[in-house]
Amino acid sequence: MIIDLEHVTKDFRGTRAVSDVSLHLESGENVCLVGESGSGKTTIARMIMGLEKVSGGTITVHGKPVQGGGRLSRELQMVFQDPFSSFNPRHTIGYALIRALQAGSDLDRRKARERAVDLLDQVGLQPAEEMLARYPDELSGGQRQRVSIARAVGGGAQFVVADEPTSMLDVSVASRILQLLRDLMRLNVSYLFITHNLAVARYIADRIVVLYRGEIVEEGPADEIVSDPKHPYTKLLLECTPDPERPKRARTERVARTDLPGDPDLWCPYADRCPYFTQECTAPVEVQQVEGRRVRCTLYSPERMSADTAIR
Amino acid sequence: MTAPVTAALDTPASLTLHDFSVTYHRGRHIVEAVRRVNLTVRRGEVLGVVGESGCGKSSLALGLLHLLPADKASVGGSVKIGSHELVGASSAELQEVRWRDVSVVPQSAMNALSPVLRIGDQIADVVRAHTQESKRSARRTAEDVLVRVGLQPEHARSFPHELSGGMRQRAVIAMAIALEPEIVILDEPTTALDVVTQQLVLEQIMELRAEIGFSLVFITHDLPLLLEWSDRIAVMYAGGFVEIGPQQQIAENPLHPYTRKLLGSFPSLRGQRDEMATIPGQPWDLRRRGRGCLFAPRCDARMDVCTAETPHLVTEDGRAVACFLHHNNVSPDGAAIEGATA
Repeated sequence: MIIDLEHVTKDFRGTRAVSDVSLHLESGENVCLVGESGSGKTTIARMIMGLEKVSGGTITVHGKPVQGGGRLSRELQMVFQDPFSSFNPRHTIGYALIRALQAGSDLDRRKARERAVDLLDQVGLQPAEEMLARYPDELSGGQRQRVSIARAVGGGAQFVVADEPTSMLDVSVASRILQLLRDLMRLNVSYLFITHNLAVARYIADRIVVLYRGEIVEEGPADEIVSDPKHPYTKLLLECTPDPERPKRARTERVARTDLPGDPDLWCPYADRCPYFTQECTAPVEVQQVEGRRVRCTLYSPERMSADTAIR
Repeated sequence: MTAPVTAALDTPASLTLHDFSVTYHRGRHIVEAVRRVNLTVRRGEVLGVVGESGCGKSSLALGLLHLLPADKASVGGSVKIGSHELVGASSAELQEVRWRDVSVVPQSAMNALSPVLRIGDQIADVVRAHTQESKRSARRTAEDVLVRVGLQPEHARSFPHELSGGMRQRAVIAMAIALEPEIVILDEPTTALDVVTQQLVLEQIMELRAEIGFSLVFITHDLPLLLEWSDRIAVMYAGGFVEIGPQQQIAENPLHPYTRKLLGSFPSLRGQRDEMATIPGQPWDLRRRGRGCLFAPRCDARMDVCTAETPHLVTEDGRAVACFLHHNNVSPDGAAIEGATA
C-alpha cells in the first residue's frame, strides 16, 4: 500500500492548518508525525483517511485520489485518540467488531464471529467470547483501545493511522498498548503514528516527520532524529521530552520576536521563536538534504554549509 | 548525595502529614483511598508524588484541605501547615487557610475556573476574600499576577474558554500564587498539554517558586517528568507510599519493585529502541482490604512473607522503602534478593 501526499494544504476558515506538505508513505515502514498542539498532525491524518477535504494539493492511495467523505479503503484504518468516543454505546463490542469485519468482505456471520474472537484474543482481551457480549461502557479505556486496534487490524488492514492512541491512558496501560502495537507489526501492519513525545515516536517508528505550524521542518530515520536533531525546532522538542537519563536540564535560550520584517506568510514558521534567526529566515526557506534527511532551515543551505557555520 | 537531604532536614516543615487517611463511604462500601500516610514537605522543597490512576494521589491532594464532599468522604490523622492543624478544623478556619497558606490546583484547569466569570474577577475574588484590598486594587493585583505567570494584563478580561489550554493552566497558577502561599499543590498540572507547552509552564512555576519561596507538591503519573523537576519523590501505590527518596537516588537506584517497574514502563530516548517494561496485572482496587504487601500480586520478586505480613515504610539514610527485600529484620530467601538487586 502506497500513500502519497503532494503539496497538501488545508485551510480552516482562512487559517492555514497544513501548508505544502509532501509525504510518501509505504506499508512496511512505520512513520511518526511529531509536533506540538496545532502543528497539523491530526489534520493530516484525517485528510489521509478522507475525513477532511484537502484545500490544495493531492492525496493518493494506490494512485487513486482520496475524496473527502468518500469510502475508505479496507487496507487503511484508523485508531483514534479517545477510546471513549470511538464506539456506539448502544451496540455490543461483538456487534461493532463483527460488522466491521463483514463490511466489504464475504465473511458470513459465523466466520466473522470466529475471527472476532480470535482477534480479541490476539489483542489480549480474555475471555474473548465473553467480551463480545459487553457494551463499551463496561470496558476500561485501555480495553476499549484494544478493541479499536482489533477492529483496525481485523479487516486485513496494511496501514493503520493511530492518532495519539495512548495519550488518554494510564502509564501501565499505555505501555502495554504500545507493546501491542509493536507486536502486531508481525501481521505486516504498518503505522502512521501521531504523538508529541519523541520517546514514544522512537519506540514505534522507523521514520520521524517533525511538523511545526503545519509545515514539515525535518524528516529522517527515527534514531538519528532523536540522537542528533538538525532543525532548531526538533532540538527544542527533544529538550522538552522528559528523559531520566539526561543530567538536570540546562535551559536553552527562549526567544519571542514580534518585530519581523516583510510578509509573515513567507517567513520560516519558526522564525519568531528560533535562537538561530537571521534575515534569511524571512524569505521562503527551501528544503535541504542533510545527511540523508530533509531539513527546512537556512542553517543547512548550501552557502551556509560550505562556509561551515552550521550548528552541530 | 546525603548533603542536600541533611540540609532539607534542618529547614522547617511546610506540611506535615501524620497517619493521614482519606476514606470514601459509598453505601455499604468503604474505599480507603489514602491509608495512614506520613510525610514531611520542607520549606522551598519540590516534592513529586507519582503513581497510577486510582492509587489515591488526587484524594491525597483534595483531602488535605477537605475539598471532598463531607457526606461522602472523611479524613483522619493529622495535617499540619506549619503548626496549624487542619484535620478537625472548622470550615471558617479552612477557608482562611485555602489560597492564603495552601493552594491546591486540581486536575484539569477548567475545573478550577468558573466558565461564566472573567479570569481577572475570579482572581480578584480570591484576593478580596483574604485581604482588605478594595475591588479596584484587587483587580490590579490580579493583572499583576497574570503578568507574573507570563500572560498579558488584558487576559484579566478574558473568559476561560477564550484561552488556550496552556494559558488556562497559567491563569490557574496565577490564582494559586496570588497570595504568595507557603505551599502549592499541583495535581497533574500539565497532563493535557503537549511537551513544549508543558516545559514552558513548568519553567514558569519553578521561577515563581524561586521568587516567592513556596514549597511545591507536584502530583503526576509521569515519573520521567518528575525526575527532572523534583528534589524528592514519593511513590504511591494502593493508597500508601511505597518509596520516598531524593530524585537522584530514585532515578539511579530505585529500591521498591514497583518504582523500578514504573521507571521502566516509559519508552526511552536512548538505548535499545524496543526496550520497554510493562507492569503486569491491574492496580490494587481500593475497595478491597487486602493483607500483606498490596503490590505482591503484580511483583516478580514476591516472597512468602509478602502476602503474610504488611511491609512498613522504613527510613534509612534519608530514603524510605516499604518492601521486605530491603528490611533487615526479615530474612527472605537469597534468590529473591539477588533478583531484586540485579
